[in-house]
Amino acid sequence: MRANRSALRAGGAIALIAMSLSLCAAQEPIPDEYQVRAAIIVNIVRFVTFKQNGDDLRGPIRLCLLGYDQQSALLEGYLSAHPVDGRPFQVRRLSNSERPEGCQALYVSPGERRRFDEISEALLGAGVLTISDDRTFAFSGGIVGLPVVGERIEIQVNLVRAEQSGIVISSRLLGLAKVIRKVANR
Amino acid sequence: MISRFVRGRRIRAKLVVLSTVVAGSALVLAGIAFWAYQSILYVEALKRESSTIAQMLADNSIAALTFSDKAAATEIANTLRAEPRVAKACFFGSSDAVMAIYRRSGEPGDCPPANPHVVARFTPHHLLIFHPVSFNAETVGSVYLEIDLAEMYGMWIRFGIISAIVLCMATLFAMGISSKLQRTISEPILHLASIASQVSGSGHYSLRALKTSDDETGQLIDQFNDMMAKISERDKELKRAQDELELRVEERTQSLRVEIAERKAVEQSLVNAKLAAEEANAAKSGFLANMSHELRTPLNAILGYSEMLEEDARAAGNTTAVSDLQRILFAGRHLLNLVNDVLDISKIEAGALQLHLETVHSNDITREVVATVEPLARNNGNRLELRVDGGGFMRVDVLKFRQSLLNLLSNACKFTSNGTISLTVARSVQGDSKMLRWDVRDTGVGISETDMKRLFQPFSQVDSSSTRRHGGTGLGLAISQRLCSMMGGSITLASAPGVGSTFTVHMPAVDQ
Repeated sequence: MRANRSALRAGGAIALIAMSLSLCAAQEPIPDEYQVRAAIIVNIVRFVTFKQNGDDLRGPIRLCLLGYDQQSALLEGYLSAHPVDGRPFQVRRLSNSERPEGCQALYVSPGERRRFDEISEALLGAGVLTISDDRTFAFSGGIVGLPVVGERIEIQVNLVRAEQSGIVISSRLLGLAKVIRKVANR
Repeated sequence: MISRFVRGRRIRAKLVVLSTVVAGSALVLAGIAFWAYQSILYVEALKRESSTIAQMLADNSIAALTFSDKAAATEIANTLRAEPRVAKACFFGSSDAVMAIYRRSGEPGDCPPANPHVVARFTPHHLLIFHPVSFNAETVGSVYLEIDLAEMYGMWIRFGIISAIVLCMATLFAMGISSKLQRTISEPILHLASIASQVSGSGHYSLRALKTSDDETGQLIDQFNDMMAKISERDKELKRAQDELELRVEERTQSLRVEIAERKAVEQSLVNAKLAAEEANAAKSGFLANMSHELRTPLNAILGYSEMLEEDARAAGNTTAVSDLQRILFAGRHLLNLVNDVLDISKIEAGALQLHLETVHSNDITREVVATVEPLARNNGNRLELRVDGGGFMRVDVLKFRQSLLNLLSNACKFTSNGTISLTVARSVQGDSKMLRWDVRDTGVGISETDMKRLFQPFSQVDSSSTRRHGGTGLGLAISQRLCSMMGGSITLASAPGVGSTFTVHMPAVDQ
């Protein structure tokens, strides 16, 4: 953890998204943490360019769920209602033994962390954008972590892993994110 | 207005005012044009720069607005502190909610409603700009900017003040320069004007203007001097001509005086001559009248006694004495006729003849006259013809008229032999008056043109030889004509030598 902290880059604006998300009108009730996180995931996908061979640019965005928790369930519902640039999301739950073939993005439940570690190298090669709520996810092999820090959800991006996966993340997003430039130290 | 101001000034002031006005108005125009150009440039640049700022803000705030990150948006908004012209900036999210506000100190913190289109609009104090924020063709919000125009107004005012100062200085400078430079134009003209006024005041045409340059003023001065030379030449000529004229008038007056005096002398002598002639004529007429009267008295005695002696001799049967006495009687009667004629013409010329006018019919006179003349005509073997085409009353002295007519007829008988004497009486018209006309025509010797002119003069016959042949004083025609004209009539003559003569008597006809 201490090593991780040293790997953090001080620069990078911290994106603190609490209440007034673009999806909510001002008079709507305050959205809960899961809803905000789902919106963040959709917006992150907007700022991401997937590996060329894996993304046919026109078809649905294929997002796989590794493990199934409260966030996964809400995400599944939210994504189907929010296409990006006219491309709908195609959500697939991975079973225990299923390989993440054909996935462009993978949401990892905090409970499936061990399984993720097993397949993380394969995901790297396949150019899959990996996302998790886990506080250490971006520091330990994942690309985007969305932990709660204080009262806000922080966007953590590991640029090294992203580059290794062949994924390009817009500098506009990086302006808001906490950028990690160190290879995962497991 | 300027021209009215300038009209009353001297030429120096005119030149200064004109050049100053020209320079000043050129400067004002140039200043206005430059100011307008600058203002347009400034406004365009302001719009461009402001749009650029809005564009950059929009680009920078894409992520912040996408993630509705108010802190990030506020941070971006606060970078506007570096640009003092921006009075206010608002960032709107995708649902048009205000995400961040920047305001310069002292500005109110309210934002207008969001506008998803590009707008650049001027208000009196601000330039308002809306710029949409889009990402991957999706609008995620918009940016609103309020640019303060105080700087622009400040620039305008500064420009105006500087322009006014420059204009004043330049105008003063132009005045200074023009008042120096105008001398090159005004001085020759003023010099010319002063010479001209000296000339017109004093009448000295020998004055000349000094030429200082070769331009139009120089030419003007040359021409002025030429003109003065010509005028002074003409002046001299005029004087000379005047002197000559006076001399000639004097001479002519003198000669006229002499001429007038001569003419007066001639006139006087003519008047004297006329008086002398009139006196002589009157004396002659008086003499002739007296003489005739004096002659008639003894002649009557001679005629009376001759008749008595002739009767006595006839009774005594002394035929020799009868024929002698008849000769004396005939000669005496002829002499009496001559004396009577002389007496008549003298009375007429002396104006002493009294006419006894009465109204008589032409036929009465004609009848008497023809009866008297008939034997006379027969004497020379002539035939007398009478033709009466018309007649009428006239007012004449019967004796005198008959005497005139008889004279004409007896002349015709006298100068015609074995021919025809015709008397024609007719009415005629001369002008407006009715006349009675007697034509006495003969087939006698006739009278030449030159002789006709002398014929009515006293004591003249066609030639002196005829006087001797035919007898008579030559007074008959003259007396007849004068008598007729005294009674308002006339006697005219038409004749051709060898063919005959026609004497025509006209007398005015009167009503009964």
